[in-house]
Amino acid sequence: MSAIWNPAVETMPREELRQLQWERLQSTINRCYRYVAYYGSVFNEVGVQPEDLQSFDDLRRLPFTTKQSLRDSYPYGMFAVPLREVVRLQSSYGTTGHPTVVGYTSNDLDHWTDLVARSFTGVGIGKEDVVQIFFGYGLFTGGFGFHYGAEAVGAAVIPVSSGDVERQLRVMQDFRTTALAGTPSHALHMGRMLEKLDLDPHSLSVRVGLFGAEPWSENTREEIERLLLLTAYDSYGLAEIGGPGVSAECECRCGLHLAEDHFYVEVVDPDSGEPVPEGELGELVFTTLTKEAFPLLRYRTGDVASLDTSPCACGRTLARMSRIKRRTDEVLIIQGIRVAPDDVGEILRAFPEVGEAYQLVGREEGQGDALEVLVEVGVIQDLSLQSLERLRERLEENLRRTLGLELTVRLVEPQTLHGPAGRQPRIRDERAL
Amino acid sequence: MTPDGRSLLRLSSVRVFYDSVEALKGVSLHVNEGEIVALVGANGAGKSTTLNAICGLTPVRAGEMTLQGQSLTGLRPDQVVRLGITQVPEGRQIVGEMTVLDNLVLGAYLRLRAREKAAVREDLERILGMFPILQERRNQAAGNLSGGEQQMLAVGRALMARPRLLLLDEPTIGLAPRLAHQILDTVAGLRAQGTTILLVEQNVLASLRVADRGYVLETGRVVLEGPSDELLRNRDVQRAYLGKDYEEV
Repeated sequence: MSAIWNPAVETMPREELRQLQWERLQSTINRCYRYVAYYGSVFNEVGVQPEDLQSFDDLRRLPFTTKQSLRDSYPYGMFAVPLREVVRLQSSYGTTGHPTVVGYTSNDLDHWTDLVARSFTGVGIGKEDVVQIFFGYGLFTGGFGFHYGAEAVGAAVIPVSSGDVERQLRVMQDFRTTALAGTPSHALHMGRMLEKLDLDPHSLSVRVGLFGAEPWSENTREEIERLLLLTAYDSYGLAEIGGPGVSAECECRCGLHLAEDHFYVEVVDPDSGEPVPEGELGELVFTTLTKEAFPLLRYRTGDVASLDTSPCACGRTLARMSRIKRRTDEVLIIQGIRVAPDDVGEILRAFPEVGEAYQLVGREEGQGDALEVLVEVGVIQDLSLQSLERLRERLEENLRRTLGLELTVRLVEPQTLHGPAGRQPRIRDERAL
Repeated sequence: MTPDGRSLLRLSSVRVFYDSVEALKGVSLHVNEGEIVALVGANGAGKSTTLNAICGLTPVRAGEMTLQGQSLTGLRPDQVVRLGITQVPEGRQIVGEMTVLDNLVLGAYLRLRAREKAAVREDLERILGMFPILQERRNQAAGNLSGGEQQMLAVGRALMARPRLLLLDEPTIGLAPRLAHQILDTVAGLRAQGTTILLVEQNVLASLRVADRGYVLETGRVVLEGPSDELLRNRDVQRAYLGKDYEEV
């Protein structure tokens, strides 16, 4: 069994952990109430003072924080510290109207690094390893999050970033990469490309992969392992609560150990918002416990999973969450980025030539996952091919720029996206993840 | 942590009222065996109130306090002392007319009654060894000692009870910087001997330097907690309690 990065907390008796969580929850509540105007008014609206919350159950007296509240406070409205104390800014994604900006103080960054270091250590990645990180570097949290964690465990880090599968394979071969960190879909494409190019996977040195940022299945895991001859592990995180490192599998592969010393997690019925019994599926709701710059109380993730607090063979006492089984809302996760149809719709509305209906299609292509946006044409005077092509290019350019994502646009005739039973779903995922 | 995996001291949502004024609005904290934990904050934040609540000097309206799992809530001060918690109060409160030696022996009165004479004598020698200045003045009236010496005497007297937990309330108050330094060095030295300490100090910088962890109190609430080095890096802490202004931090 691999080493444990931070045994003092990762193997802490659960009763002890409860006290630690409670102390941190209280201080987070007190800071949110004092320093975040949004939470101050939430407390007032529901008629609750911080001292009225005297148990974990009392936390339910506060409403959920939703993605919408984050959008409304764009960019810095929910920061609990002045900007001069923030040393890093990342973002969930880059639409002009709707991103979430996440700030970190230097303590926040240290915690983040520690969390990802736990994930790497838990799957046996350490100073002997050459880690190839193919999460995108930039505003999204994947690249930098995994990067500093890998450096902290002493690995040699290749910040290759996302993109070009053949280049990834070349680096993997030449640099004798031993460990991968990236999205499972990208890893799958690498494996398939290897097969297609008729390269021998035994010529690679890679032995382990830590994947995440999108839901994937056991079948995909087996496929990646078969193609790349490595052991694949799942990890979880989301930008709003700080990025990767929130939870990761250990070598037992029986659930993802949650960093409960930094997050208090509730599992609720997505419809009623009431807690579900342990072990049952529900929506994950996170309260950050140590965030200085961007604390969140009861943030609804839209991710559905279950929780297990029984002891794990690895010795960690931290609860384990299942894989993400599904989403509660409409989101297409592509290249690790969550794209909501509403956001696309908002961009399209700025174009009078475009109709009401559109559809996001996720599919696999040679170079990785691709997003195609089908857009119904509206009332157009000039139906020449030239002008339609110009419209298509403008849409593509606009969506690319605002979503920060490679994609293609296809114009379709009016009523194409309406079937006999009404409008077709706004998302169609053709990938076999 | 104690052998059974629990913190030595644990407070959970402790609330204290002075008449209708709520002085502690649900304070939670823990101290593990062998740790030095600092409580910091401005005047009136609730630091001394927290210590007095632990000692049974101030009644607690709600919440839980335990010493290694045993409830402290509602106990009288003498019962708390018997469980192994000793407070060095702000202002020292030594007996000025008595000699240094007698003051020290006074700290072990419970143990003398329990007929631990030999062990007490041993401790007396050990503590006089720790504080050479007390050794030198062992037969002088305590009231004739300087402020810093009296503070050392107060700490030494508390240690004579062999406390499982030592509560120090503003041990450097009113002392010249050099002496304050010396006192805190002594506190740091106590950790090396395995003494567990909950320290309240107006000198935030100095106390966080000797402590393992800290809690920052504001108007009866904990607003920050964590390892001392993290608290020292938090600019709120720096600004509010280290007297630095915006340009410096």
